[in-house]
Amino acid sequence: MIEKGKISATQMGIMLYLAVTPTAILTTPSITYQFAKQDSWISPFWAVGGLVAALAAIGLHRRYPKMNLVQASERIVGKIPGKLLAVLFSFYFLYINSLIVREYSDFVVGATLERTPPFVVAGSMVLVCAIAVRGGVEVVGRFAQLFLPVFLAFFLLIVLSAIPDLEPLNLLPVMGEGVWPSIKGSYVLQSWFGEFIIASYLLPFVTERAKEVNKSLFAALLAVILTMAVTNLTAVMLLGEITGNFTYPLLIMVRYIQLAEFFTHVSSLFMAIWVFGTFVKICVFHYVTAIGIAQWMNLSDFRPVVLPLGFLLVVLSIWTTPSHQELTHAIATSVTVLTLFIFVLIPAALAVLALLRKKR
Amino acid sequence: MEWASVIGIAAAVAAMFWYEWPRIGADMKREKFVFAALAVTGGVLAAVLVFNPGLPGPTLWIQALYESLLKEAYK
Repeated sequence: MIEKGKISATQMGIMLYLAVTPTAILTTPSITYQFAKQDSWISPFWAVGGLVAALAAIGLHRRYPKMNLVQASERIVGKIPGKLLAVLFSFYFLYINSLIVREYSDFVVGATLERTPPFVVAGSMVLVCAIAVRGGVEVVGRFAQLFLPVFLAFFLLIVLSAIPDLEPLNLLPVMGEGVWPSIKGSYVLQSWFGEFIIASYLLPFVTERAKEVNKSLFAALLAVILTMAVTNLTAVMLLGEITGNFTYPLLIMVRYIQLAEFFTHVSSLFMAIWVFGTFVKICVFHYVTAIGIAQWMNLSDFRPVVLPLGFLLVVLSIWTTPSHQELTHAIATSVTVLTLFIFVLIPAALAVLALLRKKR
Repeated sequence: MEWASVIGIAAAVAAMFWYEWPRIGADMKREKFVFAALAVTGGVLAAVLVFNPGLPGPTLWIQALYESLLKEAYK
């Protein structure tokens, strides 16, 4: 067995929540606002990508309980196409992870450690993640459990502290131009929702039976939607028309809030808490990548590939785009299409094929 | 200055080998191969980027693919 660890359904749900949310709440409020304007808080509810990905993962798991989707694909479409899909998925996870690491290092360097070379920021994070991932799925699951309360507590603290300064009138007119703007805004969010396909990699390691696990999965999806909606809501109510002008609206919100006279530099605390969430995100993605590569090459253990993949991750994160603006633009356009195709369409097709075959 | 970066990269790759190689069992030839392949690829890529930072990266490939597909669609 490549991985002998086991996680609970709750741990899986938390891992999924933290695998999607941290970078989503960092940059998407701004991108979504540019398309949806004051309806940006409605956009997360159009989480079609997440629903399809989650259902595909569940469907495939029901049919092939001990396998993740690339292992199952070998059974569904044959050995060679299955192996090709395994390569595609593994390297795509590596690629997406490199975007995540890049977002992380851009944010940290841009907002605080301005004179630190990005590879130091990225490298130190990936190193710590690699150590965690080498510990196996249980370690990553426990980290997720450990950091979730801190992450949520601070998120709520920010939102609640902003309440005195919020301007609900900024939300009007709600759906003034119909439902289309919020749907346009949700286009870029589909990349993040598509990441729920990670569930397919985690489901084989969960100890509970199907019903509880499905509940955790959908609970996680709902939690992600609500978190994004609350973030967008607060951002628009606080910042109004200029929400779309900031790269990191949440950071601006944090700097704006004054908690008490002795609580200076709240933004540094925010940064630290957000880093915990992103740490789990990078760990989960890295874990999935490592498992994927190990399975593709029929290795007996995934641990040897963790470190070199980590190194590649850092190199890729620096190489991938020359500037942050290019990155944001690419994420809002081409990467979303590719992500939808790979994380949503392909799994959905596989799930449909798998379920059809059973009927025969 | 650039050669210092290359030495640093080589040192990082060497550190990876030094840590991981002994932990891969003697009979796990496949694992050794995959590990080495990935590590060397990473190292070579990093070294190339030291001298040629403007090399187009994966995101640019995806953007280019997307834009050429859009052009096809609008013809």
